[in-house]
Amino acid sequence: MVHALYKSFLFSSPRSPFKWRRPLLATAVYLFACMPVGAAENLDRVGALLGGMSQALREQSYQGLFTYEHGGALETLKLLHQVSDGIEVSSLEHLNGPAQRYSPSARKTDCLSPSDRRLRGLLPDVSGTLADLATHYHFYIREDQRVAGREATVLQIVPRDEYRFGHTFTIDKATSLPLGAMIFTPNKTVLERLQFVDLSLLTDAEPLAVAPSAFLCQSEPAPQELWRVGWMPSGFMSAGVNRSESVGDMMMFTDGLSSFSVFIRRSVAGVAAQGQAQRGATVAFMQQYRFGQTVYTVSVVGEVPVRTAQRIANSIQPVGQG
Amino acid sequence: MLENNQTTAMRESLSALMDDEASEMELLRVLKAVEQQPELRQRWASYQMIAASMRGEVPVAPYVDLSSSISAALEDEPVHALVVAEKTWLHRVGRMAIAASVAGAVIVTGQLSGFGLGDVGSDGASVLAASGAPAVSGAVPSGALPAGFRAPDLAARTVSSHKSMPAAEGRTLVKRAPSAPVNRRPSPEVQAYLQQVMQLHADNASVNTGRGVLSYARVPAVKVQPPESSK
Repeated sequence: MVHALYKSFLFSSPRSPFKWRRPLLATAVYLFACMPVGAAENLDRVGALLGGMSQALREQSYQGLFTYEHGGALETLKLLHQVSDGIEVSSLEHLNGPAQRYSPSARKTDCLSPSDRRLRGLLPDVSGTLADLATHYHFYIREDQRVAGREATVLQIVPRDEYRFGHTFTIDKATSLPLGAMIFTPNKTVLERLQFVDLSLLTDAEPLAVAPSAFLCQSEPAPQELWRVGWMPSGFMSAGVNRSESVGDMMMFTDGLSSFSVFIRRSVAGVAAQGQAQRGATVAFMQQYRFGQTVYTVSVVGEVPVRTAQRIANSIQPVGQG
Repeated sequence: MLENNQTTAMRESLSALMDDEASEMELLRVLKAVEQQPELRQRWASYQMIAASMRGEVPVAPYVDLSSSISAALEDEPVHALVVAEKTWLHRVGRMAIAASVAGAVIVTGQLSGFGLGDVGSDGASVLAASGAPAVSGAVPSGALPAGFRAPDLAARTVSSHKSMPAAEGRTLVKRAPSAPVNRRPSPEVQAYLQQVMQLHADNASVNTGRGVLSYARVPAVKVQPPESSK
């Protein structure tokens, strides 16, 4: 019974230059391998694509269904994003598995994160181009695709070093929204894929019942930090710090396309674990360190290779030491 | 040519194993080969995935590679400290039980994947200092991960300080002493904490990776919300 099925996997032959790990993603990789290599890195066009996507995601009202595929598992989710009077609210609902819904807090659409600013070319150091991103990634515009019944431009972003993952965005020509997003390792193993099945713009968005005073734009990274990250891949910048009773100190970083978060707190019995875990492109690396007389649990969670996460964790220092 | 024949023979052994028709010798041979050939290991995982999906059992995280854990358990030897992290959790399980369950072991849910777990106290009793030298890992994978998590590929370096990252002054890597009692029970605390940091990280990712609320797709859906307070 099983024998008969083996044949169906023969197409993932070892002759392929890419590593084959998850058959369900094989098709995606296959397309990826067959694409003609982009001739020129047209940074202006890439900048327009990324900036347009960043803007559309936040400023348009839309709803859709999409699939999230990782490690051979396939999940379906429902997304709703509404904008009214410059305020955005969104919700995300898992349609299979345990019922779960995320409703991130509302934000003002003109409250831009470091990533938004980088993707839209608004950071002062990049003077309107993607110069900084382009030092860490190669950009390729691939053949157009049709996804969710819509024509889309395919932008492939390949890391120039081994410290970060690559991305493929399939961007709707009409709305600039991402219809598909894929993350792959520097070796071009696909880790996760997200793809819309159905997407529609909401024309008459109902007014949102959110008081504009209920939220603040997250300010610039607080200058006073208790921890210093001694090493991180170049191109990453701070995206803020946070502190909470339950998880301890949190530091956020982004290079515009990938992000990671560092969590540090005193070790408590039961959670003093060490190890690493991965789900799709998200890696969690946890380790215990002693600083002075106290043992701390350091966790690095992010869309970065596990060795990057490990190196970041190993470089954490309390401010004032070293 | 010889290599091809060997590969074919190995694939036959593998499929015999899948059909519960492998001899003990074949089992050992497959485990050994799988250790050395990533391609074969992936093939095995694929077969497992197909078989599981035919039984309607595809778990949330289908690709958890425990083959080297099984090898280690079969070897019945003290495992070298540098590679111990992913290899010890089956150590005390009897040989028979392992052989019987080996065909199903490559696929497990996140509940069994290798996340180290230990009661590392602040008293120093179970703490080893490892400044300077490359640290060895005493992490004992057991415990639980949030639904949908898997342990990364076993070829990855185990928990230890990076060679090119000299241990800085004032920072000590905390390791479990090998003699310390091992907590093999799944820890809901670790699971809850990971779920929490994942969720908080998704907040970061949602505003900082150019994909907005789509990032929340990565947070595993779980039935029970993690407890708000820590002990």
